[in-house]
Amino acid sequence: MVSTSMDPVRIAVVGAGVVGLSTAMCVSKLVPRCSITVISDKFSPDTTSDVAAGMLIPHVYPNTPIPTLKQWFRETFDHLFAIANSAEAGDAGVHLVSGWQIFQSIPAEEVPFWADVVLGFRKMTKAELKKFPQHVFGHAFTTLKCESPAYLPWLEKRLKGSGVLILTRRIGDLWELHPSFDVVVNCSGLGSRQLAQDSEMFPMRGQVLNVQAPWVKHFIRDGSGLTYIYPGTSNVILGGTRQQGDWNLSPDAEISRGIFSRCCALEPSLQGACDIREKVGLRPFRPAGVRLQTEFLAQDGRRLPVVHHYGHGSGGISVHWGTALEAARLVSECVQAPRTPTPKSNL
Amino acid sequence: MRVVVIGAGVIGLSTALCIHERYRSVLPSLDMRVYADRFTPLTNTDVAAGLCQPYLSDPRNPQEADWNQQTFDYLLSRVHSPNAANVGLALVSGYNLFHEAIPDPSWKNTVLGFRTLTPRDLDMFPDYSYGWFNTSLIVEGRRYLQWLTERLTERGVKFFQKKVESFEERDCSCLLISSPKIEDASGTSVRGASQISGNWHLKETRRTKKHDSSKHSLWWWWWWLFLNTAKHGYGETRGTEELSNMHTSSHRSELWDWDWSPGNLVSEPVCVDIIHVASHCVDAPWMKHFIITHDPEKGIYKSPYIIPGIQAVTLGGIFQLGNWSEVNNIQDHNTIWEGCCRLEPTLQDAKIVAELTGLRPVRPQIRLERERLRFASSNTEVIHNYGHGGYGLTIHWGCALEAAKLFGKILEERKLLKMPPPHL
Repeated sequence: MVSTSMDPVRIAVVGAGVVGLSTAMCVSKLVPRCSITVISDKFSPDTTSDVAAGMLIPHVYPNTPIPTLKQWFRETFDHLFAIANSAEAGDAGVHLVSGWQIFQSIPAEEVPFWADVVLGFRKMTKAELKKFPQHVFGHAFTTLKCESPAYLPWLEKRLKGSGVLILTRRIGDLWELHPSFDVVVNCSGLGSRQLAQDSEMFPMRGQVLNVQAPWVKHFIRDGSGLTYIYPGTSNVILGGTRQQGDWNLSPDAEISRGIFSRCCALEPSLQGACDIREKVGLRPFRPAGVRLQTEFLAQDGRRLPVVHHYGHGSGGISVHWGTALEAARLVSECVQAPRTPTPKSNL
Repeated sequence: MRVVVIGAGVIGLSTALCIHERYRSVLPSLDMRVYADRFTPLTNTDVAAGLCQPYLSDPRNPQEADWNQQTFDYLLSRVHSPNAANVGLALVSGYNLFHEAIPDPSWKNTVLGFRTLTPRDLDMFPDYSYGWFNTSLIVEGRRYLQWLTERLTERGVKFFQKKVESFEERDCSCLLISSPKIEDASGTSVRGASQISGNWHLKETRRTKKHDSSKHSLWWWWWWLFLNTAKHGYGETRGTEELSNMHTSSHRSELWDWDWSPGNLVSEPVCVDIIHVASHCVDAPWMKHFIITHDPEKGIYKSPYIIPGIQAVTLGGIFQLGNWSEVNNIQDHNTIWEGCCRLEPTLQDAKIVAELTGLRPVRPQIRLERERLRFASSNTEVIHNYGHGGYGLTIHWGCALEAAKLFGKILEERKLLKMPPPHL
């Protein structure tokens, strides 16, 4: 059988973390008459996204202009803000949280680029800073927390509801998806080291503690980003680490002690925390920043359009919806380009 | 010296601790006891949402503003300590919402990070057009009372459960009253007790209507205004004057005000100080902010509020003047639920964990003063500390400090101190 341009476009999204599922969602809304299959070896709660606290505080990517970054962040914030204020908030794991970002010395940029995207951004008062005797400056604001253990299943449910297929399978090579799919969207994060032969990709290991401390209602983040306390729906996440090139997924007890001690210094009441669980995630770090690019793979006369959407490092959840919209646009452009007929086969 | 504290809610226990901490070392003979009909978890304090926030309008007694500030500062210093959660303390931020712009409250510099809401903030609350954001404290009543009880027990203070109907304590030098009304057997107020010899009684008080006789024991917790014109022989002028002042003040201040409608000024005793409060405790752990709405048309407290606690979230918005019922009705339930879900749609999925009722002991201002009772052979000093309405937790420590000052004066007068009194 030969597919014609009248058949729905067959799109494979590789990866089921926050980037994969949100991209599938955006594609399903933007691209008409397509059939989408999400393929991944891991789903929530086993993805990298699941370890992240999901605080919407963006990170800077070196090759991304600030206006673009701000747009991605704003689109993500607006999307999640609407969910947070709806009856879906509990199911989707998205809620507002207020708190402080504190600095031991006055930062070069006192007002970050995203100050007017979050709510109520202002500098901390002297009275507020009294809580943090080692810190001299701070930001107070209200932002969102997007908890992947709830958000990903929620996205998955909605995807299934709109006819997206979900497939558990480990892909070793993107050519495996040919010729069953017309377009591949590569959201494999760290997996792109192999799947996209991107040797620049490396893990930025992060270890965190999930604890029970329901009296903590505010986030506290040290401006360096290394120490943070993020209260969520079912626990408080204490962090963290940034270990470049470290692939070890097993928690390190010494590191846990260090995290706990640093967090207790900022929030002494954490000494009463209990039910402490260690988690490790490997952030998909790319020195050049997020790769949002269409690549036409060609091999032995075969052709496979791939939209790459990976490399979000520490900031995936903060910009996921903005970059997913961009990826969906790239997919849409791909789809509109004339296609050569290819034989169908079953995967 | 025997000191009896009557009442084991936040006022009774915190005052007891404040006095014991300050005077035990200089008064070795201090023998303190707490008498109460109800202890935690059955007190009014236990069902309070626990948010430290004074009323919006300035208090009638300017000292109350100081007491609020002192309480906040005291709790703030404790919330940064490792055992804050044990004490029941947590910082919490949130929103006060209004239908129109109003002046900033006098406590704006007491709380942390006070600001008015931006248009984007207000987008979240389409029914409201103005508001504030600030960081305050919650004091979880039950945990705090447990903590206070532990501290007092460590210090050797004894607790007695007594449904006190007739109280005989001739050797008691000082009585600290945080809850019940004192009347003598004839029903004359305690002001007249100096003429009475013999025992004085702590008596249940009775409304002329709408009371439920099966709830007698509850009444130990509620204070009457000393304004029962017909019953207690106060001059009608005085009674009317008091009430009319309060009526005026209800027009003067805009919000969180007393609904003294003229109907209440009729000849029966004015017992408008009991306020039935109903609330739900729900499981909604994603709620990290308090949201308090204000609606001057609906009247005080009748507007929905959402206050996260350490484990559960309190939803409220029922306030019924004069309702002694300890039971919520289905209408109350619906009012609370609908009001709060409209305010915060995310609550629709929240599970109700408990339904609570409280009766706030309300007075136009707190009564915090000394009174001396003379019997045949002895004097008993009374320190009144009652009438904290809906802001007992908010103001308790400042009142306790004041009560401790009064206690110190008593000791000085009686030359009981071995050393100079400790600096308060």
